[in-house]
Amino acid sequence: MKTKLSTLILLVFCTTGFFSCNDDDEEVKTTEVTLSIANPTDLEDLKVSKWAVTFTERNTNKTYALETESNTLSVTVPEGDYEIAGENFVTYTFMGNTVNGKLYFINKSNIVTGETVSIAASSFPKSEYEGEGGFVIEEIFYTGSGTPEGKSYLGDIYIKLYNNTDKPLYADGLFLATTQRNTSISYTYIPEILDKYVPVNGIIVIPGDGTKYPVQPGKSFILAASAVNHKEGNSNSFDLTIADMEWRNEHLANQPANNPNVPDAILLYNFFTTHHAGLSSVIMGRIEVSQTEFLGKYIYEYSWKMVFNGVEYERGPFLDYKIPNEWVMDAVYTSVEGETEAPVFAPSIDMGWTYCGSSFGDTERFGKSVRRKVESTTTDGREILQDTNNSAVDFIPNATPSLAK
Amino acid sequence: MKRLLSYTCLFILIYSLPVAGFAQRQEDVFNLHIQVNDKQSMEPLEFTFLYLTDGKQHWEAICNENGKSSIGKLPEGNYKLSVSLLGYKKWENEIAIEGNKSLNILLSSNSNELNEVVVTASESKGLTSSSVIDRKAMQHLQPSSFSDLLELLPGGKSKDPGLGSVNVIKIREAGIEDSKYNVSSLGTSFVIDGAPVSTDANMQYLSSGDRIIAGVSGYTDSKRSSVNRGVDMRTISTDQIERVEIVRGIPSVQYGDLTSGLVRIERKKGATPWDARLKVDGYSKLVAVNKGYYFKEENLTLNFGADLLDSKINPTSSYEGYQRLSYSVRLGKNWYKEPFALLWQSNFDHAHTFDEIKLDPNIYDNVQESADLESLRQEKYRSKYDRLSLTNNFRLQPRQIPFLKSIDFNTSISYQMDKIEQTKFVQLSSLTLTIPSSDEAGIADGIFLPSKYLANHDVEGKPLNIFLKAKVNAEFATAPINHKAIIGTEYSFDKNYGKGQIIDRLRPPGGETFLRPRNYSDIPSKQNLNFFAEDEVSMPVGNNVFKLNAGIRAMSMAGMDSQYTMNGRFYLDPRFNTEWRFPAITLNNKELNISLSGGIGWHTKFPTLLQIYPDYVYLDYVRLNYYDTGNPGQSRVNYETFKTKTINHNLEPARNKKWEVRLNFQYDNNYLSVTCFYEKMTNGFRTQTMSFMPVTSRLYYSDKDSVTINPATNQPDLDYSKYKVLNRLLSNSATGNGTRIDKEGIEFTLSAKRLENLKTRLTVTGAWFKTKYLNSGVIYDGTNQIINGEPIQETGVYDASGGYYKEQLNTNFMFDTYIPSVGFEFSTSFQCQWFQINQRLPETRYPFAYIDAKGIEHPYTEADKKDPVLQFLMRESNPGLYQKARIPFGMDINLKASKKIKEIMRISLFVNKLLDYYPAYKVNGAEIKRTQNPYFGMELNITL
Repeated sequence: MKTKLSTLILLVFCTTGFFSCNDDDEEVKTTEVTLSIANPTDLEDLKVSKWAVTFTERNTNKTYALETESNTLSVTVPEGDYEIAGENFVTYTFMGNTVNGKLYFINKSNIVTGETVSIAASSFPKSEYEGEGGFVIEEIFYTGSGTPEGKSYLGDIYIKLYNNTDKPLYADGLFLATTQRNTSISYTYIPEILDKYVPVNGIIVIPGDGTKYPVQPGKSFILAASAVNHKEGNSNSFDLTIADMEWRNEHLANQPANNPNVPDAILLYNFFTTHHAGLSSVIMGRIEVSQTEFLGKYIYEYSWKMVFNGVEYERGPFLDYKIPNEWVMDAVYTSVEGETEAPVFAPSIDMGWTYCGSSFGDTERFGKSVRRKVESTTTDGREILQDTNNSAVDFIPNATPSLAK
Repeated sequence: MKRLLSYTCLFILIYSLPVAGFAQRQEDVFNLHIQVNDKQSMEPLEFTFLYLTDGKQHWEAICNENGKSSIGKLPEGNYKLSVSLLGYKKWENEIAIEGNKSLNILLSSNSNELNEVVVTASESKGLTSSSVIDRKAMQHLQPSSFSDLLELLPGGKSKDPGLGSVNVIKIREAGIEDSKYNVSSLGTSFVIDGAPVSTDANMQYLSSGDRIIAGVSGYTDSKRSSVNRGVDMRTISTDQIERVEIVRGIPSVQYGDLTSGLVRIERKKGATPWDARLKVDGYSKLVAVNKGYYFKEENLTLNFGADLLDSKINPTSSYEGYQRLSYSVRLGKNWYKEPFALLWQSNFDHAHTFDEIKLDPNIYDNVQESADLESLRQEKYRSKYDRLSLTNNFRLQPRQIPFLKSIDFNTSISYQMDKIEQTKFVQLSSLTLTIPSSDEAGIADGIFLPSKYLANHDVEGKPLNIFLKAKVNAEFATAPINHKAIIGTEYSFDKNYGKGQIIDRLRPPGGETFLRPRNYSDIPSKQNLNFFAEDEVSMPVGNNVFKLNAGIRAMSMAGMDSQYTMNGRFYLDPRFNTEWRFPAITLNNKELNISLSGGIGWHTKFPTLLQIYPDYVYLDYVRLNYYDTGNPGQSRVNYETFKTKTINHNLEPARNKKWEVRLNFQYDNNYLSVTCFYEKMTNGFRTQTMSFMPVTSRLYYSDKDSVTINPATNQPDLDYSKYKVLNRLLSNSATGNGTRIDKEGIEFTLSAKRLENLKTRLTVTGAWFKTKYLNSGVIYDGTNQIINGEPIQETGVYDASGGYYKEQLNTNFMFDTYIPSVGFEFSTSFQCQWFQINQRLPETRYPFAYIDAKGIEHPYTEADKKDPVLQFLMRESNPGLYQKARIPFGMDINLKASKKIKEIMRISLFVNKLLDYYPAYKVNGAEIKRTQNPYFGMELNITL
């Protein structure tokens, strides 16, 4: 009997010991984290409000929400691996107008351990209107392959769209447009609309009723100017018969060959012609009104002024179309070293530029494309592409085209 | 005593003379008839002074306007005759009088007369404004081709040679580079020794459009093509020319088919020494040789000459070049068989020019290994001009008919063998392009072009021109009025016998443009039949002299189809020039002569052959473009071709109205003339959209679901494939009369007397030109936008607003020093451009009507400005576009020098822009700098 009681008391003590172990466990190790947030440097008259920062511990999913008026934040958190994201409603001046925007940053993984840790984060403008979209532009091949004789060959231009989400999406109704503005040309436009719209000079639209062109998560949708096997005529080129869609217009004369097995995009406005050196850029999205309403109401009538050798020239009026910033799902700002004089759209659409070739006219640009970087790969092998709305950071310039073999 | 004897002898001597004379009167006396002519032109020389002496007596006489004079009552004996005239070498000889005698004396012009040495253009003393450039001025200028002479016209300025493009003439205008205004240079007629140079059958241009041949910057053909632009002055060398007259005002009605002006070139005739010229400058080398003979016994002159020019367009590159070889043989014979004189002049000319672009061999050093270098290296461009001409002029002078001065008969025939050859390496910029392959209208399959190939494009033109002119010159007086009348007729024939555009149709140089060549010999000929009559009257009015030249010219196109408005119609050009010469006012023992001239006239130019007979217009529409790389045998492209002839049957000849007023002052070898002019032409030629043709065509869908492959042919079967019907509006363009040009301005020439002590003369020429290049009639213009996959068909109808305004003021100050004793000539020229103004004139922004896809015209309303399709018919138009741009003062200083070495050699040197003053100027606060580079050369002349 005494032995059973001793064992029971021992058991109770041990259990209490366990509890006290738990009490000991409640003395969690914490780290003092100093977070410094860098603001983008090329926004004019940037006025920030306060940062709303969220620390999410990746293993426990515990979140800590904090606010700070300045760009530094000190907080003590338990050790762990944190995703840190932050938002700030800001205003800045763009094209002479005050724009409401958001600065945003996200650091996916930060190991927090030890006494103190310093973490740096860079923020970038995020469009106030960013929708869920889901498609991104994965690659643009705009320089053409060039021929062995050194002449330009633009027949094999292609663009790859990518489903960056984990759900299947439909490409029906997506538009691709080329910007009316050329980044190497700095004119004063009257009226200036870049803070709210993107002026475009060519628009193609993927047809369909919403169920015709499914794109699985982690898969691409390839649009080509001419979906044929270009190797037949140009040994430098590639076989584009694998494209999902082509945008050549067959009844206008002097158009390149059209593959009858590949469906055609609709030419909504003019031709869709990328710039051979990337000086105008490509945007993608959905037109959120009917096509008739779009063609009727979204016309952009403008004049421009420039000063050359002291003489002021005014030209216009001209007509083109404009896409509201909120319809833009993704954009790729392209340019070339030494040619970036003026923006082609608001920085909230895309902050920095990517390129092929090292100067304007550089023949080294032939046969190169710009490709979006892979940020991470999920466990089932699906790639997630990086999209921080800054093509200078998100893209690999002078890349080997993915379709080159 | 001795003195008395002397006086007596003297007295007897004096009084015995008449007795001696009396005594001589008993013997026979004779008459001496003298005819004096210019040795080179054979023109009779009025005012020639004759001095005859036998040692004791002398006789004097002056020749009349026929160069005739006679001295009578000459006793038999030996005499010495001196014949002199200002500007000519004195002629002296011993003659024996043994009976009545006739002498024909030829005087040669003496350019050593200081005041007659003019190294600039002189303002003609005739009734209308014209500039005369003689041999001396040409030598001093050291030209490479005719274009260089234009520097001497009022408003002209020296220019670096531009032998890589056509040089067309510009008279009394500021000038513009725009093919809509080509009628201005087309409308200047070049007449060489009485034969007009016709360019109406010139069709040398590449219809496949302008290409860049590797190695050269810029396009190759259009700047070298003078089609519908008039004479290319690069083809005219100056070494055979004795005298040029450029009529800027109102030419005589005996000259026609012109609107702006007339260039009359007279070549050397008569005995000239062997003359060789060698000129070298930064751009070119020139060699010329000429000689003239006069065979006195046969009354025959023979002149011949040859010249060769070799130039590089860009001094640092030898891949673009221009060469010219020309030679000329001219024979003249006079028959004198009382009472007729027959003068015959026969000229044979051959000019050969060559524009060439060769490939820079280093340009393809960096291509990839698999490149087709062999094809790349075959690219070339060559344009050859080869003209033969034979002119025969006859002048019959029936000396016994008092009023009939002469009957002239001019004939000329010219034939050209021109060829353009271009080889271009075409590389398609995408996998394949398609072209139709049928010449006819209708539906037919086309072909898929290979992705690269060599394309050859040749153009062969063989224009033939025949010119006949007969004219009667009469002179008579109905006291107190003197008349000089001309009446005549003219016929010309132009046709091109060449093959035209020669091209492999299945390998077009333009890639996608399919050309259906047309044989030039299938184009009908152009024939003109013209009549003219003119009378120049002069009569004294008190101490004034009044002259009036009134003429009328009637022109028609013969042999045209009755559908043309021009068929069978006579177009009349009345022209009047008057002069009022005030009585001379004596100042300081010298005479001041003032005259006031004025004129008004109409000038008509017929369109050229290409403008009257344009080619068929073919419009090809792709109905099906099916290209399956997986099944290449199934690929098919099908076209529907519409063929239409856009002939503007209402085409009218261009007509320019000119008037001018001129004031002339002459005092002691100083001349000043100031001319004020105004010209207006409202129906000049230009290519413009003329008509519309609505068509419907099928468009077959080319995706796999819509196309049905016919199992028998293994090709898309159009009967079973899906399509939609499209309405299209095709627009056609042809030559119309939509160009308007207004020219006005003031020209002046001041030629001061050569100062004896300094041996220097100052000449000032200048002009102020205001030129408006405008539109006439309505303008049709479409737009290139595509909406929802469909190109916009609607075309706007716009008013005639728009055009250009240009203004400039130039003066040239030239000091020339002429020292014959050391054989040295020197001139300094200050060429000042005081300002230049360019302005684009406002255009209305919106059309006043539009034409829809069915070809129906509708008014363009306010609401249409917002219509999604019709809004694109808006044109650019804003005040900033129409501002005046002004370029301020700039001045070049040019130097020319020439030295005779021993009697036979002369070395000359010129430096243009040796110094220049082009101050930088500010526009809107920014400074614009200007720089000029000198252009210089040297010349060596050997005269034996």
